Order: sequence, then C-alpha cells, then structure tokens
Amino acid sequence: MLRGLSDIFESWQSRLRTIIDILETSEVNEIEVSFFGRKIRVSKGSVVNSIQSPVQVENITEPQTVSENINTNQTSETQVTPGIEIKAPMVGTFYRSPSPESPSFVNEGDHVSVGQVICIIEAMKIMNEIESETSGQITKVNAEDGDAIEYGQPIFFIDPD
Amino acid sequence: MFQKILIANRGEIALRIIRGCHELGIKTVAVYSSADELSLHVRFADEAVCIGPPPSSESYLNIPSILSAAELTNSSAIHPGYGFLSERPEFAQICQENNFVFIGPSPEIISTMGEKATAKKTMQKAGVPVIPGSDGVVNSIGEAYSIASEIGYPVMLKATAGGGGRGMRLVQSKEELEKSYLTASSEAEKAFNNGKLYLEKFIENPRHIEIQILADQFGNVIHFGERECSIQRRHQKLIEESPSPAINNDIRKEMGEAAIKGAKSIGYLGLGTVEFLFDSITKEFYFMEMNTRIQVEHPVTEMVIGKDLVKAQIKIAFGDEIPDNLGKFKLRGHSIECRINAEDPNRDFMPSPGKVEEFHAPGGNGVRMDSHIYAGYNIPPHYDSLIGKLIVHADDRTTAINRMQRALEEIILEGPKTTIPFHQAIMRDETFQQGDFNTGFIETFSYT
Repeated sequence: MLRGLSDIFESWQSRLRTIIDILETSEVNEIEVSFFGRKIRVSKGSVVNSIQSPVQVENITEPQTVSENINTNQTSETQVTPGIEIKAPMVGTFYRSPSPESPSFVNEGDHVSVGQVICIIEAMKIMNEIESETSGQITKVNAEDGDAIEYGQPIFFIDPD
Repeated sequence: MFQKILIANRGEIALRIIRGCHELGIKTVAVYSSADELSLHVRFADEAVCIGPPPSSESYLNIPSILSAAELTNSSAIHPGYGFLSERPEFAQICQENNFVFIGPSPEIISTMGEKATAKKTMQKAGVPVIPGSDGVVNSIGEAYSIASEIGYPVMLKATAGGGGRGMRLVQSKEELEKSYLTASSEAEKAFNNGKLYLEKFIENPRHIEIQILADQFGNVIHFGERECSIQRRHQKLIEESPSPAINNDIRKEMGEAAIKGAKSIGYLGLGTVEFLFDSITKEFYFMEMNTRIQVEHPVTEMVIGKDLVKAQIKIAFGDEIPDNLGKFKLRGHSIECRINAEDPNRDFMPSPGKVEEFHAPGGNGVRMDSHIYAGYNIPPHYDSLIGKLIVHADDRTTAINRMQRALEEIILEGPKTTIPFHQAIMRDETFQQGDFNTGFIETFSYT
C-alpha cells in the first residue's frame, strides 16, 4: 500500500511534536532520532531546570549509513580541530622526518597534495613512507616522533581543499 | 617465565590463552582488527593493538602487522592459537628471526607435518601405523591392481593434487578397478591439471580418534589420552568427547605409544595432536595427520585429566621440563564438548552473524562455557562462526549427556541463529547415546 508523500511528511511532523512534548514534560534533555535517513536532534536548554526551557530543533542533514552487522566504532572524539582525520594505515613507530637530522616532512599549516609523503611508519626495520590521500592544509600533527601507532589511529588532521 | 605474550588470534581461543597467561602472571597483548574493537579478548588483555581492517588477510593473517605490534609492545613471545598463522612455517620462522619465542614447534616440524604426504611417510618411517596403500603415486593400472590385491578391497583411488573429496573413487572390487582408474584420472586431469592417482585402503565406518601429546625440549614426550571426534559435518568437528566409547585401555595404550613414537622421531616440541582413523570392525588404527598446535577441543582433555593444557604449553615453550607427575594421568569420568556456531541449522547451516541481544551462560556442577560473546556483542561476519564451546564433565558418559542436555537447555542466547537446537537433537539421539557411531553419523542424521 503506497502512502503519499504528504502522508509521510505529516506523520513525521506529528512524531516530532510528540518528541518535543516528551522533552518538555520530562527530565530528558536531548533526543536524537532518525527518519528515512535523516537525523534530527531535539535538545533542551539547561540540565537541572525543569521549567519550560526553549526547545531547539537541529536538523543534521548528512544521512548516515549505519551498517547492521559491522561494528564501525570510529574513534572520533569531539573534534576541536577543524578538518578531517588522516588515519594510520598500519601498525608501527611514527616518525616525522626521514632521518633524525632532517627536517619534518610536514608541519602544521603546510599545504600537502595527494601522494605527498607526510610521515614514516616504521615496522620491522622497514621505513614505510606514508602518503597523503587528500590535498589540503595540515591543521594538526596528532602524534609525536617515536610514538607507537596502531592501525586506524588519527595521526594528522587536514583541512581539505 | 615470559614477561609478556602477544596473542595472534581472536575470539574464544584468544580469551583462553589470556586467562592462562594471567594465571601465570604473564602480561598479555591482544591484537585486533577494527571489526573486533569491542571484542572480549581486547578488553581482557593488558594491552591491545589494532593491527588492520576487518579482512583476515589484512589483520590476523598480516604477519608484518603482528610482528610490528609485538615489537612496539616489547612482547617476549607470540602465541598463535589455532587456525590463522598457527601452522604457517614462515610465521614461526619470522618470529624466531626477530627474537620472539613462537609458542609451538620449529618451522621445520610445522612444515613437515603440514604436508600430508610427507607427514604420512615420516610417521611410517617411525613405525607408526599408516593407512596401507601405494608409496606415492600409482604409475600404471597394473601397479594399481597389484597394490590393491595386496592390501585388499575395497580401496580408494585419490588424486594426488586433489582435495575436498574431488578426484576420489571408491573401488569395491577388482572388476571395477580399471574403469574407476581411468575415469578418476581423467577427472583429476581436468580438475587439477594432474591426473596422477595414489591408492589407499578404504576404511569402512572409520572413527576419528586423536591423541593429545606434550613434548619438552629435553626429548620427553607424554600423552593425555584420546578424544573421540567422529561427529563431524563436512569435515568440521561438531562434538568431541573423552574418553572414546569405542576403545579400551589396551587400544588407548597402543595409540598413545604410537603417537609418542611419532612425535619423538621428529623431535617434536610443545602441545600437539596426532589424529588417527580407527576401524571399529578390525580395531586397527592408522595415522591420518598431526596438528602442531593447540586444538579447539582441548578442554575435553583438560576436564578428564584435571590439568591446564594452555599453561603447560606456555611453560614448555619457556623451556621447562615436563614434571614427573604430569605423565601419570588417569582419565577421570567423561567429558563432552559441543561447538556452538552462529549458524542456522534449518537453513543448511547458513552463517548468522549480528548482534547478540541476550546472553546468559549455563552453569552449575561440571559445566564450563568457553566463549567470547556477551549481551550486546556484535558477531562480525568476517571470521569463523564459532561463538562458544559448551563443555561438561561427569562421572560417566550417560550422566555427561544428561548434563549436556541440561546445560544446553539453560543457555539463553537471543539474536543470531545458533546450532544449539541441533546439538540438543544429537544429545537425544539413540545412536549417539549408545556411542556406536562413526564419521558417517551426521550424513545420515535427520534433523527437522
């Protein structure tokens, strides 16, 4: 049985209203829901105050595909730094320069292009040059020279062009 | 004792090894793929290193990543568990070259016993009974005739390059031999580009009975009795038990001595299992293959001998000598293990990964559950479907079956489909209860 778009939109709106009602009359401060690929977050002003505080509706527009079976628990902590993560593609020891005496491959503020070497990850005495897969500006170097790095660990933040 | 051991594995066996290490005061390092971030072995280990994305080839089979993790964490030894890299000689080799103790035998031994034809020849040289047959490939139909008449029909013609049951022919009598030889050979030629065949005596109604051995670096080798593993589906074991209802003390003694003889002849080191085909009719046993690692079903032996095989394995790897009392074991009571897989027995055992909504393990007297799952755990689809082993121990076989039935009933597991109902059906089966079964049991077992 096909439902018209207007029907769907209407039920969406009434559900939202229900959620806002729940929020206003309870101690719940924030509810996040997904509808048809869209995410909506509804949050109250303050935590303790049970008086009617303004309810904000935030529309997070990027649809998020959640994989059912695979636990894609990305280690995304609250990003204070602008840009996207560059994650380590392997396990090893992180080095910022080709040798102890040389200058670092990249520094914060540098612009890098696709394929440019940004660091070395050493594993089993082999120095692997890690290339950037994005073109952009390095906003943060997230690891120190000599750090032990695991697969998937964010090592740089980059602001893509 | 080792300071720190890296476990190059996952799931229930990684947990098992971590537990043994902790009891020995050894620090543990878990390696994991990004799909296993919330896995129990990662949480129980003292340290954990993410070594790659979900596919095994890029994580649990990724030798450089694992060695790198061992390097970073300053591990002293690496335990390969079972499956994955445990029987890869090159992995054992690389561990040695990088000064990590590989918990297992040498790369040479792993290599020798990993090659079925070579293993058979090696055991035969040591005086271990092997399945009678041709010495290598058969070069002509005439040769096939003479070997077959020597060992007696029925015989099996097998493609030397074959596997998975292909290129095999059962020959009941002399009259069938020529035709079978020609068709098997051309089938093999087409399928494997190699039409060469070898010939073996066909063992009717074989039982799969294996002997657990332990060998130290001083040449001492002992055995811990047998495990009966005939309940198999497509060559995958489902239920194991000890002792075997098919053998008596005399046969046990003979098989144990044969296994020890074989292990000594190759200078074996560590925990190992010698698998035999047992002919219930003639009571003869024949070497089939040797597993140079810890086995899934090791708990069944632990329950009847009252010893910890993982701890023994680690101590041996460290260089300890087998203590005197360890070899003087007595098989006490009866133990059964059911392998619980996340598979749907109603849909031809189709894998059923996904979220475990509810889980509660059974307990009580004589019940042991070796499992890495928990309520809320997401079973990843990338790896094998074993989610737990339910092991019981009791005074005798009947009581053990009874206890297994009770324990299977108690399990609460909601979410994925599992083989629990299938195990329950087998426990109720009269043939199984009588103990008079062989490797053909599951094929003829009707499950609705």
